[in-house]
Amino acid sequence: MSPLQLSGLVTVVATTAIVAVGVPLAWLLARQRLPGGVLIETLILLPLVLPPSVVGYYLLMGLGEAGPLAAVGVRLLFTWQGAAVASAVVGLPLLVKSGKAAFASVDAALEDAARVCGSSEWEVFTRVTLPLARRGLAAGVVLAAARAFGEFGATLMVAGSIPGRTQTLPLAIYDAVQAGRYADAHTLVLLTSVLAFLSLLLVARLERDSVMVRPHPVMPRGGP
Amino acid sequence: MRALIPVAALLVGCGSNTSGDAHLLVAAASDLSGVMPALAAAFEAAHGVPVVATMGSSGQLAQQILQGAPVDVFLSADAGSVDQLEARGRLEPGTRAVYAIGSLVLLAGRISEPPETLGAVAETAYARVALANPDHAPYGAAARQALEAAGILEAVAGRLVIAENVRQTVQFAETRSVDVAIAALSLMDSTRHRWTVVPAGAHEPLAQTAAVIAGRPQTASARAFVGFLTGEQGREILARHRFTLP
Repeated sequence: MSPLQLSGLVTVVATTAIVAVGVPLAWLLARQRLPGGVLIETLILLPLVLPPSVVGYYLLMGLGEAGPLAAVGVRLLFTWQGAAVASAVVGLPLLVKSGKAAFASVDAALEDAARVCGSSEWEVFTRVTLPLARRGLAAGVVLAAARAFGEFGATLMVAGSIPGRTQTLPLAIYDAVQAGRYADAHTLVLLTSVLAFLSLLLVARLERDSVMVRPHPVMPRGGP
Repeated sequence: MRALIPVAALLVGCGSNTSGDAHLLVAAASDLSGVMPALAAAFEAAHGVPVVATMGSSGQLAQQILQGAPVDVFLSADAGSVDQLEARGRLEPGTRAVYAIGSLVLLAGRISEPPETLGAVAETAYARVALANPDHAPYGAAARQALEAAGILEAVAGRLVIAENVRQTVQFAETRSVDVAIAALSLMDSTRHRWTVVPAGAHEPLAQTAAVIAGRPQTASARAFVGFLTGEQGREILARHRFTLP
């Protein structure tokens, strides 16, 4: 597989995992008073600020021969799946952060209105909360996917830089520069920059629209 | 992170078909980055097995192999990194072979003429001197030994720029980020570089050692690769890239 194809595969798989884990988590953090919620949130956000080498070190320990996964026969080091795990871990905080904000901005009165009309909690979530939060969530998904696509440091540590197997676009650029293949590097750098620019443009658009469609409360809570 | 484990576990199943191809994965010291394409092409033509190379410093590659990287053949730039793997029982017995002897060069960077001798690197004009990380890169270790033997290690200590591997020292010189780089002769290209060879006696010989990694599905092809490398065709290609042959 070419670096671009590998990056595409890793990004799609990582983003799927990020959405599966991140959306419920963002909702829980925004809407439920979890015991230790602040602690959980802080732990999830850590990869945003930790050096990639530290994230890589944890993953190396977690996925390595002495780690819990190897004990059950799952070996992810130096595979594209390992790269996807690294990408998912660094991308997840971005979805959780903007997802939490998106859920928190949904007017609770609208959810209550749906409950009064006899909707189940699941219906409230899928037919009221999720549609109202969708712009912010989508922005979070794009940001997380872009971060997953650009992941480099932790990936280098857990997946190495094996051409055709684990050498994603960022790693291929690093390899090309080290080898003095500047023409290759120029092309890949340009491609990556354009993709990153377009993602951010999309995020800006989604965020602007989400402000515009923010609903007005229709049923004030409590009252005289 | 724990929440990702089931997701990750699900992915393992679909990964098996991609890793089951017939490629031979060679972990090659970064001083081989110039010669690997030629070696891979010649080996594939002769044996019909495609070769994929992952490059790095020998010490880093040895660590990756110990951590379980799916490497079939290890081409180190020294003997020490191979010793490490042998001590941990990670080699196919009897497959180690010295395939080349490496040489150090002083490669001109921002200052367009290379120093004529290693001792000249002590001159303050060479404000930034690149070498590979001596802790895990054999060429870096050899460079440090040579600087020490020339009695100038302390004089230049504050001016050293540590590269991750020897290939990166060349990149530092090419981009003129350093004044001079202590690099590998095998990476020199007469159309782009100007260099002086460091006499071999200045450091322990870089006895570049190959070995087949144990427990891999393709040990027969891996043995064939080491045979090819130390055979007539491999030696001819290595010599063309300025390696000294054992």
